[in-house]
Amino acid sequence: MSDVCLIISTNSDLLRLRCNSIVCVEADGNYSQVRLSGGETRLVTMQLGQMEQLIAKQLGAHGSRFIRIGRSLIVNREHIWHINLGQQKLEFCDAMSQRHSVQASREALKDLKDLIEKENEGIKR
Amino acid sequence: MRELNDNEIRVIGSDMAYSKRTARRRWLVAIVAVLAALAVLAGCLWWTSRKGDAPAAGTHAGALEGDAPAQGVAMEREAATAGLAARTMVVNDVPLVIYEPRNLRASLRVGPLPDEPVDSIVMALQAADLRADNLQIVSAFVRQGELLSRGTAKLGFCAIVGDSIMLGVDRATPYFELALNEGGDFFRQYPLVASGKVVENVIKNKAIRRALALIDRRVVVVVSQTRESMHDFAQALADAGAEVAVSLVGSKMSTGWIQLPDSLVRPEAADFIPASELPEQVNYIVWTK
Repeated sequence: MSDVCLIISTNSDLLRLRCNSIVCVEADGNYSQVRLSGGETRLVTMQLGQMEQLIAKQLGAHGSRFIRIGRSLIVNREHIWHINLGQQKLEFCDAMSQRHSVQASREALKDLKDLIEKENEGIKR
Repeated sequence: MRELNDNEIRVIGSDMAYSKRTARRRWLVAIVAVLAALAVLAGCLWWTSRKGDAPAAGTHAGALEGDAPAQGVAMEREAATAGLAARTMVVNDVPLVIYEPRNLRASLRVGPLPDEPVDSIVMALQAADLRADNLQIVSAFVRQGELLSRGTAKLGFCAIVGDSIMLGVDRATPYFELALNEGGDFFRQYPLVASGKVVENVIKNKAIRRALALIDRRVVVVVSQTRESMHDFAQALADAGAEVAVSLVGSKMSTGWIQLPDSLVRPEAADFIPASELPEQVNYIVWTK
């Protein structure tokens, strides 16, 4: 699963991103900011909805590691490190121990927490 | 794929949003919406039975009174005889023809139209501009959900989703994403009027001007009968009651046709350009039966 790649191709360039290296994708107007492990970011000329469709189309079942949160965020669940409902903050920690945090609504974070807990229980069973 | 609100999450690849609370809330909203729709329907029935036939759309010149509307406005297709209604008016010494599509379906089309008008297309007018250097479409352009061009160089937009046409002036609009997600159409052009007020543009030359405009809550096509500057045309539209207006390709060089019940109007009558000489990316907004 580690070598599954997402290809983002435009008229002028092509990005080949290992899925594990994608920490999150944040909406930036009509564009999307892809944050990679190690702290690097890439601006992609696609809206977040298009990114979501691209992930679903290219990755199929592997795409389920990504979770869309609200209108402005897609996260890679592998990198989720801390969900803080009080501060409405979601923190990531990548393989290189780089940390990054984003804001999300309390309701969405509660659902995310619930989802991860439920899936964890399912695995234990 | 349904658009999420800020309180929802979705595992990518699944169609369902994961939210118990919002699911419950959505049921509640749906029930309230149905009740409200029934109340509105009952009100409308009562009103029409009292009033008889609805009056014809007004043709007054002058800015609309009251609050300025939101910039993106949806217009539903009406049940009426299919065709075009045309009326003329003179606003600030600018002679205008207003074409009102009735019960026609709008869509975008890319590629030259046949040289001779076809019956199924009642009105076809060039939509987005092409770049002079590479003849590619300027700014964002979506056709049947497929993104054919990117960019926000022009802030006016027209989105066609299902039977609704949305006009507006904004750099980032949810209608762009809606068109992509729902298999709709979207293009950008110079904005002329926003919230009933003229939008200034850098274009200063005079030409035959065309526009999509929202007048009296209807999306219409307005064509100037004389060569006008963009400012004067926009001012005339605003004074004619346009709440929002977005330019279409103008000048007598643009191609297309307008089939009225008793006549055919061809924008390029003075300079006919055969389809074989038009660029591949030439594009049209067409109204079909």
